[in-house]
Amino acid sequence: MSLLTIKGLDVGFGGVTVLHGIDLEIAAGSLVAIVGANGAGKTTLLRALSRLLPLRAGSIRFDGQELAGVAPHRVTRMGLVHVPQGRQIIPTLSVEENLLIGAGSLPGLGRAELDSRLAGEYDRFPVLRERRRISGGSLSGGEQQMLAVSRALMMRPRVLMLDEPSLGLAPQIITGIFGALRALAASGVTVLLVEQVAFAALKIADHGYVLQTGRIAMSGPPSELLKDPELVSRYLG
Amino acid sequence: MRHLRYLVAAVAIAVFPLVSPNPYFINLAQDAAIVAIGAIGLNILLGLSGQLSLGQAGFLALGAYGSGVLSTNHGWPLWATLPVSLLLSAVAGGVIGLVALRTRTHYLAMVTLAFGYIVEILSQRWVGITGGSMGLIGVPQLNFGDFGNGATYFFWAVAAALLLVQMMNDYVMRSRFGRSLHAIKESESFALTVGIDAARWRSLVFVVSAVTAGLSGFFFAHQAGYVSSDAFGLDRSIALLIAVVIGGLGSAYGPLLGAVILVMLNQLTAGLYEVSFYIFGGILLVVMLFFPAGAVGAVQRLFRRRSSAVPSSADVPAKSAQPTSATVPAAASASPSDAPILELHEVTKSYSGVVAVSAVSLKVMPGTVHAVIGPNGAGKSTLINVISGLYQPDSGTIRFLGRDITRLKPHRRANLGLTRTFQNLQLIGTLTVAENVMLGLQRGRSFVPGWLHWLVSDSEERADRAEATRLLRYFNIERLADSLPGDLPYGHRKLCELARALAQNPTMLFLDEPIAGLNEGEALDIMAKIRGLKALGVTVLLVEHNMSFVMELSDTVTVLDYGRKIGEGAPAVVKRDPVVIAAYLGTEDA
Repeated sequence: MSLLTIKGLDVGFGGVTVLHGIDLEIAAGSLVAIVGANGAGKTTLLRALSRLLPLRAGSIRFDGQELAGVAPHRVTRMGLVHVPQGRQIIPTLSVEENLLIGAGSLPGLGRAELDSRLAGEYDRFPVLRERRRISGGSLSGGEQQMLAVSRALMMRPRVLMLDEPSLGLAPQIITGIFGALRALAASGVTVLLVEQVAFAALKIADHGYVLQTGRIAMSGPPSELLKDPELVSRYLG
Repeated sequence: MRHLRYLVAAVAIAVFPLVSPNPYFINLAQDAAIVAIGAIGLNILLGLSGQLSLGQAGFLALGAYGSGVLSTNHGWPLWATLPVSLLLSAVAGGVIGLVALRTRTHYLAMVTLAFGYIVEILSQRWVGITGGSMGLIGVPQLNFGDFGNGATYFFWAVAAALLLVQMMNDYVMRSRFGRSLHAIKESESFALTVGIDAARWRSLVFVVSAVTAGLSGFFFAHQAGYVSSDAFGLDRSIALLIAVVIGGLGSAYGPLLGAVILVMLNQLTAGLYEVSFYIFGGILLVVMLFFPAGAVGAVQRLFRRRSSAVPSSADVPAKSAQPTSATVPAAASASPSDAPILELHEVTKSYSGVVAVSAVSLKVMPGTVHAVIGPNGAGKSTLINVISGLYQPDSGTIRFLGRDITRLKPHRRANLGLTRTFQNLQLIGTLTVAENVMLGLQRGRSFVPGWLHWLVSDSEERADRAEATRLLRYFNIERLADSLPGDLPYGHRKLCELARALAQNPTMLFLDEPIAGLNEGEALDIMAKIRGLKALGVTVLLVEHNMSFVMELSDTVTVLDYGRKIGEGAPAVVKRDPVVIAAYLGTEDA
C-alpha cells in the first residue's frame, strides 16, 4: 500500500524547469533510494516534496491527502520530515538544544515526552549523549549527520526524507549511518533516501529509482539495478 | 540631442533670473542648485556603487569651512580657496574611501555617520577657527562686487557649476564607468572577474561624492556670507539622502528633481517646523513603498503607459541553432604549441581545517576543451575560484601563458585573457543585455580625457555598442539587446553571459556549468558555439555536471574527489576507470 504517491511532478525556479514528469510510489515502511549524479535534480525533488519549492504541475498525495497547497511547516507536522543537505546544524546551540529545535515547537508535547524521545535518540547514537552539552558546531561531520537524523526523528515522522547524508563522510561512517536507516525502516518508519553513492544506497533499499537530468531514467528492485551496466552510464555518460 | 539639452539648460539658466518675478525665487533656485550638486555625488555613490554614506554633511562642512576660513581670516581670493577647499574634501573622501574597502553595507554607513559627527563636533568646538555655533561672520559673498545684482550673479555661478556636475554625471551614467559601478554594486567578485579593479573604484567614487559635497559647501558658505556649525548636522546628510531617494535612486536626473522637490517641501513646511520631520518621514515612506524608482521613475512610468511599444520577451522568435560564420567574433590568437596555457602545480587550499583542494596539478593545453568533473564536494568550486583568483591557494603555483599568476589579483588575471562565467548567472539586472555585454569591453580612455571626448562626440560608446551587437548577433540574440536580463528566458540569459565573456576577448574561457538549467536544444546550441570558439583557437576549461555533454565535447577530462585528482585522460578512458566510477557511485560497502 503506497503511503506517498507522486504523479507528473514538474518543478523549477526562475526560468528553469529542473524536474520533468516525476512519478514515484513509496510504500509504507519501505526504504526507497533515489540515486543520481550531481545536477540530476535530487535536492530539488526533496525540496518540492517538503513544499519548500512551488510545483509547476503534478500532485503529491500523502496518506490520501493532497499536499500541493499545504505550507511547509504543516507538511512537517503531518509527519513528512526532511533532513536537508549539509545537515543544517545550528552551530552555536548545544547538541541537546539542536535536538529540541523541531520537536520542542510541536504543540502538546510535555517535558516528560520530550525527555523520553531524547533518551531514545541518545540510545540510537550514543555519541550524541556524550556530547549533549557541547555546541553543534564542534561536532565532526559524521556526528553532525547523526544529529540531523536524530533531530528529525524527535518529531516521530511517518516518512523520513534524507538529502545526501553521505556527503563528505568517510566510507565507514556512511556504513554506520546507512545501517541506522535500515534499522529505522525495519521499525516501521518509511525512509526516502536521496543519494549520489548509488551502490551503497541501493544495497540497503527495498526499491530504487535513478534520476538523470530531471527525469526518472530507471527504476526497479535494487538487486536488478545494481547488475545493470546502464546504471554507470547514467552517471558518466 | 545631448548638446541640445545642455544648450537649452544653459539658456534657461541665463534667462531665469531675468524673468523671475522677484528675488525670492532666485534665492530658492540657488538653494536647489546647492542641494542638487551634493545630491548628484551621493547618487553616484549610493545609486550606482551601492555604498551608503550618512556623513555627506562632513564633506560639505570641509568645503564650506575650507573656503570660508581662508577667505575671511586670511584674505584669500575665492578663485584660490575653491581648489583648496575641494582638495580638502577630496582628501577626506579618499580616507573614508579607504575605510570603505574594509567595511561594507551598514557598517560603512556607521563609519560615515561617525565621520559626520566628528566634523560636526570639531566645527562646534574648535571655536578659534570656525566660530562654533556663533558662526564665522563676514564671509565674502560671491556677488562679483555688485550688491544689487549679487543674487543673479551668484545664481549664474552656482547653476553653471551644477550644469558642469550634471554633465560629468551624465558621462558616468552612460559610459563604462557607470556600468562598472553597477557591476560592483551587484557583485564585487563578479566585477573583478571582468577585469574591474573594484577596490580602486569604490574608493574613487567616495572621492567624487566628497568633492561634489565640498563644492556644494563652497557655494553654501559664499551664498549667505555666514557659516555656522548648526548647518552641518545629521539632518543635512539625511536631507541629501531624501533628495536622492525622492528623485529616484540611481537615475541621471533624479538628484536634480529631488533637490527641487526638497527645497519646495522645505518652503511649504517652513511654518510647521515642529511636525516637518513627520511630513518628511511620511513622504519618504510613501516614495519607498509606491514609487521605489522615485519621481523620475513615476514620470517614466506615466510615459511608458501611454506608449505601449515596449518590446516584451514574449514575442521572441524561435532561434536558429546554426551559427553564422560571417558574424563570428574576432579570433583570440593563441598560437598552438606544446607548452600548456594553464598549469597548476601542487595547488592546495583549505579553510577552517578542511582541505578542499589538495596538491592538485593540472595542465591545460592550448586550443583544447578541458573538463574538470567530480562528485558533490569534490573541490571543483574551490578550484575554479583559485584559478580565477577569488581565492588564494595556501601553497602551489599557477602559471598562465608561462607567467606565474599565483599572487595576481582577479581583475589582472581577467585582463590577461583568463575569462570566466558563473554557474548562477552574474548578469547585472539594472543594465540592458547590450550594456551587460559592453561590461566585458573594459577598455578606452581614462576618466577626464574620456569625459572631454564625450562632450564632443560619443563615438567611443557607439563603437562599444556596435561590438556588443556583433557579439549578440553571433548568439542570435541581437533583437534582445535593449531588454533587461530579468525579462529573458533562462537560456537567453546564458547566451548573454557567454557573449559578455567573449567581449573580454579571452585567450582561455573558463565555463562554470554552461548548460545547467538548459533544455536539450539549447544545450546543443551552446555545444556548437563552444566548438566554434575552439576552432578559433580559444582554450576552454569546463566544469559541468551533464556527463554526456562533457564526454561529447572534451578533449581531456580531469576527475576530482575529496579535493584530490583521482583520474585524467580522454573521455572514453575516464568513463571506464574503476576509481572514477567508485567516486561517483560509491562501492557496495559504502
